[in-house]
Amino acid sequence: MSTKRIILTVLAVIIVLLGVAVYFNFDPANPTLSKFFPKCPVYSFTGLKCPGCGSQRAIHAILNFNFARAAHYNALLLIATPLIALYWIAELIKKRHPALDNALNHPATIIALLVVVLAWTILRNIFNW
Amino acid sequence: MRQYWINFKGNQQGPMSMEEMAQLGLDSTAYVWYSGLPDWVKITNVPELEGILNNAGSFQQVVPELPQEPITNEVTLQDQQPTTVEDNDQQGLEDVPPLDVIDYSGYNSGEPSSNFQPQQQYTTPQQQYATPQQNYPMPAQNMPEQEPCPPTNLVWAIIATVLCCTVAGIVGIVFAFLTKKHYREGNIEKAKRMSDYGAWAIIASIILGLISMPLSCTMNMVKMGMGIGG
Repeated sequence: MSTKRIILTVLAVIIVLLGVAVYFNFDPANPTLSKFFPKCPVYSFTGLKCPGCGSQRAIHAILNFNFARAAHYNALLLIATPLIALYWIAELIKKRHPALDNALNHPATIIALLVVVLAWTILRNIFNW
Repeated sequence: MRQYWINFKGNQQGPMSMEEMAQLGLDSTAYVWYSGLPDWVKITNVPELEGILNNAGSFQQVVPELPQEPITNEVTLQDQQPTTVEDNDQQGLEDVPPLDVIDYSGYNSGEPSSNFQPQQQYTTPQQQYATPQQNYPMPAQNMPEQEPCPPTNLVWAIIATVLCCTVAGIVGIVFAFLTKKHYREGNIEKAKRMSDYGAWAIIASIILGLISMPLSCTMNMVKMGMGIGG
């Protein structure tokens, strides 16, 4: 591991920990606090929900182990969290177990992800999820 | 420098440079493959290699029915470098596309041309690789290890999608797909380019997010202030 990589990793860990601390303690759904949290530009401009809308509230809910609430705010984020973890694990053990990484980065898998994201975006706008 | 794999009279060798190939006394019956080619090609179809062909050997083309006939080239080749040949039999071959896959169903076609006997023994492992990706043309799975697939950046694209940066995230997923697609088709250069585009889309989304975040916060507070004032 090069020095640059170590510095970047440490920096990333600090940012993530800071983010976790903020989103654990403060609820973006709280009306007096919500003004301090960034708003989704897609929603502000178009009035349409993007696939990431509600993810801040969902992260707060996940960090407080309230998964039902998280699913209410953004179900995709709840599903994506373990998936992201899986991708990272696959990347770490790629040398020894390339099969998992191959499967996760298979073109068919990527297309499936794309379809899920697009379908989620359309459906949540129709049914107001 | 480009590295070549050679299949000549049933012996597969490589990677090697053009200079090393020139020593082998190859003739026009040899096949060549290098990273970026989707499949083996006849050496005569690679213009840059024309200079290294052994002209004496081109007689052979006239009598292709007699490949077993001992030819001085072959004997010297094996005398000089027996270990190399063996090594390649053991490790090199897995990485290199098999000769008999020109028709894509050919992995198990029981028709190994007599020129390429040794190829036959690799039919089984190839088949294992081949099954999960029948939809995708072919040999990229067998790329030599020197050319691993460029990163797809897929995780970052997913993260960007579920957090703020929707558009960039979806663009990132598309580029991840294109990276993998071109890699599997053996087009490493294009795959690398797609990988870079994907990375840039994600970096751009992070920068945009960092700019817009404090901006939208201040705007909210300004709105609040106006609300209180008015």
